[in-house]
Amino acid sequence: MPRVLVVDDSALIRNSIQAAIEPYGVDIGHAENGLVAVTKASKSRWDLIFLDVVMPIMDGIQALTEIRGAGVKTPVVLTTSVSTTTAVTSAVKLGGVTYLRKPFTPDAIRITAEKILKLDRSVLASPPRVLLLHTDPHTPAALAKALPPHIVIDSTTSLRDALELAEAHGHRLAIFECDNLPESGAEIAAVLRENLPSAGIFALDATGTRDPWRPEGPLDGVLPKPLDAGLGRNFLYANFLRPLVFVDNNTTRTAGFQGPASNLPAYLTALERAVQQECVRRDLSQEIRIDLCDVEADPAAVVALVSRMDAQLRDAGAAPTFQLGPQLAKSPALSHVLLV
Amino acid sequence: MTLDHQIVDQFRSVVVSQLHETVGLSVNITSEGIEEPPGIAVVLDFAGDINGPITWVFPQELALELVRRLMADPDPNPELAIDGATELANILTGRASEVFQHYGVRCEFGTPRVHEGALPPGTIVQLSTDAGSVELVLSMLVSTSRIATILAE
Repeated sequence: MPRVLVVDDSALIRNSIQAAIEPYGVDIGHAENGLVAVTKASKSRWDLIFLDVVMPIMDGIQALTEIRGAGVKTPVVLTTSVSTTTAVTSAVKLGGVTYLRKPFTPDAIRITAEKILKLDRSVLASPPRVLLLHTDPHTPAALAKALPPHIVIDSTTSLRDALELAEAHGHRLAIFECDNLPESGAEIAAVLRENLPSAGIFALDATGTRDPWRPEGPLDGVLPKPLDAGLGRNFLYANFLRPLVFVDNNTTRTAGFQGPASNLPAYLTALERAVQQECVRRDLSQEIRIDLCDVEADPAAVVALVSRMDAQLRDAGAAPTFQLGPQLAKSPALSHVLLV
Repeated sequence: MTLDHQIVDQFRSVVVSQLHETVGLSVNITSEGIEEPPGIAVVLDFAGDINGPITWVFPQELALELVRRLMADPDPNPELAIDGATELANILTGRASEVFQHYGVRCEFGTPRVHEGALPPGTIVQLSTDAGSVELVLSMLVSTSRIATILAE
């Protein structure tokens, strides 16, 4: 999926750009000044950079000069409240640079991103969905507050209705409370897993912790109650709700790792499930090339993931090839794996 | 040398039109004078032909209106009012400073920061909006003789 770097010293502006384009499924990175932007732009591939002009430490024009100097040709949209300065007009002449005047609306951001990244607005009509089986009437609103606004929550108080919803929508994430339900937590987790094999399945309970990844049988872990926005975005959204794979010219590409290091096991499991689901959906006799270049995670964990996915896909009758970053591709542990 | 009244008037009229465009409020210029800051004060520093700070004081509700519009969130966290105020100051200063550039005045401004304590001395402009009153204090000084020539023209 396209990767967008949002550079602004104002977290409000970064978050507003993110909220506007996140529903397209793009992968978004943040930088709070020009220096961080130069480092991030040189280190990995980006498809679009929104770049503020006036910032501390290094301003946007200096950052743009260094980014272009490093040979990075990613399209850049300068975001500025002053569009008439000589610096901005000169920067636009560099090519691959446009500007967006502040204040901008979410729709202006979407139109700009759609044009440059060739995004399809119709995807906004089918947002990611969460299945919520709850007993506390306040839980749906609390969950909605913890997740990005474009996520749809299908909430119900009965397991039977939950299974019907799961069949209709194929949720990527299911969360349940079981305090006053006739079924036990283990039973609910088992039946949800049967219906949603690749979803993240979590119980919501006051005993949960900020490190909720504790896979046990069909259950992926226990979330703390009340759920906060940090966990909602950095754990639930980053690992289970944003698209982790998409197909581009017969290549199954993957989204990079986001969030704190403690999320890595959850991310790798979710990624593995998503890749398997995508490959099962496709004709296994076709070439399956899996691009993991953008996976920024612990190299040893990625090597283990590639070995495991390769073995599973071969068992299923496919012959996958993997595209990795230069360092990982040299790993002796992957000598048996077909690399691009 | 303090700022010419003609520039201050144009600066102020851009602020009025930009407040309307940015947060959708109609604005009246009510009075000029020195008052205590009633809301969130944000300061930015100009450098170049014009030097010194410009200070904005926004009511919390106005700052939150920008957050609502940027985030498309009808019920934003009140803690975001400070972020809204600093960004509003940034946008309004940027757009209004184009008046200086129109006159050929070379100036740049830095990043906004929250100001605490008494407002600095300067030309005070008070604007009345449906979300409360906005104050700005223009404490910038004209630093070169070049600008005097430009203004005289």
